[in-house]
Order: sequence, then C-alpha cells, then structure tokens
Amino acid sequence: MADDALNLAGKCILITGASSGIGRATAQLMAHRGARIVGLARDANRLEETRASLAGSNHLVRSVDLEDAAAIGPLVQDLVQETAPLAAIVHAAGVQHARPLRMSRPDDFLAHYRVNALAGAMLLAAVSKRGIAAEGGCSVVLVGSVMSELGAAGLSAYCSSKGALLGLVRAAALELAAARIRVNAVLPGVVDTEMSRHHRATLGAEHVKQIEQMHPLGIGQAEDVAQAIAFLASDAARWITGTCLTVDGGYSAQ
Amino acid sequence: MAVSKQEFAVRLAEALNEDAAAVALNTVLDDLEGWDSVGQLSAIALIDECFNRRVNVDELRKCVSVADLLAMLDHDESN
Repeated sequence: MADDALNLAGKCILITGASSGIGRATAQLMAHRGARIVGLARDANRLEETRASLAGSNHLVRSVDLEDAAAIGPLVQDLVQETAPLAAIVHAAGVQHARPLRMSRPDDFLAHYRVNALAGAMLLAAVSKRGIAAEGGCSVVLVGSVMSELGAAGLSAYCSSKGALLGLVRAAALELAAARIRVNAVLPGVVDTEMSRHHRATLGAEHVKQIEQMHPLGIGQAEDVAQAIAFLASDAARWITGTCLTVDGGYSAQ
Repeated sequence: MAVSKQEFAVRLAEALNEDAAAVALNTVLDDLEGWDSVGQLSAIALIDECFNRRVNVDELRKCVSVADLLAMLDHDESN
C-alpha cells in the first residue's frame, strides 16, 4: 500500500449534509487532502459558505431536498455527468427531533426515516448502477450514531432511523463488494454541531451536564468524526467493508 | 394563539398521560405523576405544536402551575 493511502487527490467525492456540522468538516478535510467535492444540502447559502471554505477548486455544490427519495438516483447521475465518477459517497445529512412516543405521529418517524435512512439507501442504489462508481471502486460512508445501537428516551424516531443503517451497511457491503464498492458507517457520540446544540438546548443544563460526563473524552468536534470518515473513504481502508466504526469519546464503552 | 387555555390544559393532560380532570390552570405541576422527564419532553413538543414556541426543560421547571406555563408563553388573557 502506498505511504499516502490517506491522500484523496484526484478523487471525486459526494457529501450530503455538506452545509454544516460533520458534513462540512468532512468536505473541508477531504478537499484539503486533494478531493474534488460534490456537496449537497438544503441551504444554498450555507452550501456556498462551505464551498468557499474548501481548499482547491472545481468543487460543486447543489441545493437539494433529500426527503425526495425518488429524485436521488437521477440527481446522482446528473452530478456524475457534470463532474466525474465517484470514489466515495458520504451521507452526513441527518435530522434529530426529540419527541416522546405518546406525542409521536407517523410523520415524525417518516421525517427521520426519509433523511437519515432512506436517503442513504437511495445513494447506495444510485452508486450500484453502471458508470456512477469510479473505475478504482467507491467507498460509501453512512453517518450513523451511537444511537444506532443504544437508546435514549424521547428519541425513538431518531434511534430507529439510525439503527436502520446497521443492517443497510451489512447487506449493501455484501451485495456491492464484487463491484468494488465498500460500505461502512461511522457511529459518532455527541458532537458539537448545530443539530446537537439544538437538541441539547431542549434538555436543560442538568441533563446536558450528564451527557457531557458520559463522554470520557468530552464532547466531540465535527473534525474528530471527519477524520474517521476520511479514513474509511480512502485507500487506507481498502479491506474494510460492512463495518461500523464507533467514534464517541468512550461513550459506548460504559 | 392557536389554542385556548382550557384546550391547552386538556392537551397537556393528554401529553402527561393524566386524566383531563386532573389538570386545571391551578394544578401544581410537581403534583402530577406524569410531570417526569418524558412528560416534560412531551410538554415541550406540545408547546411547540400549540404556540410554535421552543422552550427547554430549565424554563419548564421554573413554572409551578399550568397557569405559570401559560404566563411564560405570554398567553393572551382574552382567550
């Protein structure tokens, strides 16, 4: 293996949720390592901020609504035609709303499932088609959560949507290995992003302190997760597929 | 506002898994069995639904009664 297996030079990488948090940090790190970024998110202005922050040039951003699952396949095809076949896909877009079961409606669950799980499945469906993955293969990294495996009161929709990624990773990894498409997930603990700040703001100071204390290495930064994603996306992880990498500051070791 | 005080009290009882009769404007929240951490998250969701207001647990815990909750939400007395 080459010494620079973490280098991403010449690779075209699609990242959802690129306008903020883990998605933005991943785009910045991967661009720094030489990748050409295709960034997707809803907020066009913040996507432009991400693009302006990326090293290098020739990056592309596109404002899209990932809740429209049927549109994801054709969108990926169009983006590849505009740029290049994909060496990696990172699904970092996500939603998280606290709502106890007794207050939950079907739409609360569906909103989580559409973005957190179904969009990831449709990205995998898209990359399985001829001409989408780069000739050297493609690495798909889905951003799950420690809540893919654990639970939290009030977060049934979020936990179950992130839990769906575990089965998806394993099945897709087996189905797509022959096409040299690797599929993995990262499972972050609580990371200091806008989405998690919004959630923590709901909980109150005492509960937030408890959450912080449950992370032996403290609350994470988006860059901490981006490093793990960039590794899985790179040739350094060429023999890794169908697995989930926990990146949680020790949260789930307890 | 989207709901009256009385309607809010009824919906709060439902959110806290309490009998509707158990929740009135002068009800002390801490006296309700359903006013636990999940109940408080339910109340936050209800307030968002009814008033399009996002409050946190710390703000809720400052309220002694249902009337205090409504006062915190700048409830219009004419409703």
